[in-house]
Amino acid sequence: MRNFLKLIIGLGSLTGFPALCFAGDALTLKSQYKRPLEIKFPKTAPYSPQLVTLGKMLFFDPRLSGKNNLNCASCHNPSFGYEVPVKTPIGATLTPLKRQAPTLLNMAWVAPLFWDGRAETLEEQAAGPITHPDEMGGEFETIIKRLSKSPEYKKFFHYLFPQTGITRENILKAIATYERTIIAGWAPFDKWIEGDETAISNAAKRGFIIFNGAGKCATCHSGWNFTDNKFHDIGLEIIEKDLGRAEHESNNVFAENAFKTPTLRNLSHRSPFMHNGHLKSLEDVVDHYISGVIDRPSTSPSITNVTLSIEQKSDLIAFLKSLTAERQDVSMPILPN
Amino acid sequence: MRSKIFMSIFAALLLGVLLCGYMYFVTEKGIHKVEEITNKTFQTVKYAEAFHNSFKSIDTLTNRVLSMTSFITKEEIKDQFDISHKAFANASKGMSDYSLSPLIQQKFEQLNHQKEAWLRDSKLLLGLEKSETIPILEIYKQRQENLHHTLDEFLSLAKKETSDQLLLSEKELDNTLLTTFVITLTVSIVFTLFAFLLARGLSKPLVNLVHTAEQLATGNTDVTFTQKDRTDEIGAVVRAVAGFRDGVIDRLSLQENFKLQTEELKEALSKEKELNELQSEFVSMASHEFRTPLAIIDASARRMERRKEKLSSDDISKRTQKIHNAVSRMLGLIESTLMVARADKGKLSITPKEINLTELIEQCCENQNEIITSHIVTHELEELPDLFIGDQAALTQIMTNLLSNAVKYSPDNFMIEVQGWMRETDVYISVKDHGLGMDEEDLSNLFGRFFRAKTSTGIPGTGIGLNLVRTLVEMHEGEISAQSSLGKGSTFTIRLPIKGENSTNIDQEPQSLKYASQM
Repeated sequence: MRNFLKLIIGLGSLTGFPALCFAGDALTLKSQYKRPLEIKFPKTAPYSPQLVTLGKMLFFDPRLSGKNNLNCASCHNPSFGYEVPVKTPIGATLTPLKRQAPTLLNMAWVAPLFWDGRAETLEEQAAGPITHPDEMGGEFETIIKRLSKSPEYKKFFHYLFPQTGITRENILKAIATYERTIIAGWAPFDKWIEGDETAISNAAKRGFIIFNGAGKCATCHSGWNFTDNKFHDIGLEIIEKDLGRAEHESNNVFAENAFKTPTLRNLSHRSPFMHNGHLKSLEDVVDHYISGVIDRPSTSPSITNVTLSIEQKSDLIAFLKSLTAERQDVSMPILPN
Repeated sequence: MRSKIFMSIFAALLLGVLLCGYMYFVTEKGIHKVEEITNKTFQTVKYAEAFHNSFKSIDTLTNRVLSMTSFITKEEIKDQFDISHKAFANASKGMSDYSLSPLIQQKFEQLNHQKEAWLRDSKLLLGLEKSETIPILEIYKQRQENLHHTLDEFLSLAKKETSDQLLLSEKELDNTLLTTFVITLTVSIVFTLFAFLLARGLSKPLVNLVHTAEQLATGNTDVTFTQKDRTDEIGAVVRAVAGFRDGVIDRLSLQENFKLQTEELKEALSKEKELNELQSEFVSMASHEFRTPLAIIDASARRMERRKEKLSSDDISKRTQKIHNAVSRMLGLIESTLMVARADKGKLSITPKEINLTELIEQCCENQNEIITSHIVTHELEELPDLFIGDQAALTQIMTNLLSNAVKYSPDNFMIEVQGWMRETDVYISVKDHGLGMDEEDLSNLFGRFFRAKTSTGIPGTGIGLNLVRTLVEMHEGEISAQSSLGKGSTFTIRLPIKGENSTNIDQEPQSLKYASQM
């Protein structure tokens, strides 16, 4: 009987030890992934529900495009993680754009903006696609004229900006403020971080360790929003010449072919992946890091091919899928006339 | 007694009024308590509803604003929020007034805390308060859900507590009812006991009286009256029954007298009847038995009268002898009849004297031989005692009767044998004939008065002879027995005890023959 107990305890400690180590690791790791509970707004654009509502209206208003046919949601579709389910979106000129639309999730915590980080603020960023001839092809003069025709818009703008009324800055401020309220929902992963052990599968839990360890993913996709807000050349095959960050940082070797690390939240809705939308699935993405990284001068020092078993790969994918929140309803505003 | 009854009725009334008062008081109290709790419950529900409604309206407002589907100005939001918030605060205050238990208090504090946080969040989200940060909508929703949950818990707790309180009050009411019931029961029992005692006080002397009266009815006058001194109605009844008892005693003594008189009358009557019977018997016997010798005497006398010239002295002596015989027969008859009557009356007596029994028997046989020529009486006497105590006349009567019977019932055989012998202290004398004899049936009735055997047909007789013989023998403390067979003759044996000097002398009574004097 005593021997039997010893055997049990022995076996128990044999299997329990790595589990304990893992548990200790996981605890420290998990603390790094706690979500913020509040959205911080810049002093220049403090939160008000009226401003957010106006921003949302403008976000969905096609009158902001040159031909009244595109709105922000045309390329930042809420159903696809505020992206489009094609390699790259098609703009006002009916030709595919150079890069995929970046997600708008958790943009309140992201700066600089764009794949190449050319905008410091969301306000600045918003102006880009609206006025870009390949994208929405709008002109602010025209836009302000159009909006001024609507007594409601006029009223709203004058209510919020009694002195200035409908201006480019105010439009952009409203849109940016709205965009700051677009938050990825509470994913199973977040619930697990909060202490619900049953929220994710054991495979996902193992995948979390791989994500932080063998996969080296957390090097760039760090923190609760899974981004370091930095630019890296991840050694993707160059199909069409795109300098990336190098367009704005020409003297940095590593800026060439480098693009901003995107968040991994709501990944399941956001395929295809990468800045050019060339990887169709999460499997393709993981495969790229296992065997597809091209070593060139610009390639980020943090990026090398990683060695993962098939099980580790599937665990990692299970983890990545646990970052997707339940779908949240997005109600459409009634646009003023 | 009457005053007791009145007093008990008064006491019952008083107690009843008191009991009603108490029951009213207790029930009123219970109902008041239930009312209070119901009121409290009602208030709680009211406040909870108001709380919930205000909560809902702020929630709706927040949802409306945060859905960002239409433009709502701050003033509009503020107005709606203020209205809802006011109602909310009111309800909240009302609920804080409602305090039942520490548990629910704790829950309420938790609820309040969550509510304050949620309200702050709501204010932030609605833009009613300025801040650099606002809660993430999902977090807000989560907190709201928690608040909702706490509210539900609080309400269910309050509901449970209220229902518990209601149950408690119901229990209290039940207890009240039980108390009332117990009191009523106790009072009923006390009253019943009281009534029982009262009834017993009334009925016990009555039952005693009934018992006494029953005893009196069965004639037992040996009864006592315990409640005679009571001053109430019972006492009066007791005294009345006592008077009745005295009457009964008088009546009973009278009855006793009557009984005695009746007894005497009855006795007299039966004596009279007996005399009458004897008289008729005597008359009938006289008509049969006395006529024959009289006829002989008459016939002899007439014959002698008619032939007085021709009669020789022989003839005359022959005739006179006949007359003489007839007379002696009549005398015998008269004598035996009288004796029987005396014996029946218990007035027949013997006078025992020292007699010579042998001589007596021999004399009787000789006498018989002298009178009766048709038969020969032989005697054979064995060492009979010299001294025998007995009545000479009675013994002679016995022997004469037995011998004459032997002659009478043996018409065809002249031998009559008399034997005498002694065994131990007894003398035995037997008279044997060889005449008609009789059967067993007749033998068993032989010594009955007026009994005559079937074989005696045509032979004159009264049926009293043997009866007399037996009486006389028994008077000598002896006994008589008979053996007989039909056609062969009979043997009568008497046994007489030899009495010494110590033998009792029966006092001689003067012979009184009442019936004779009444003839």
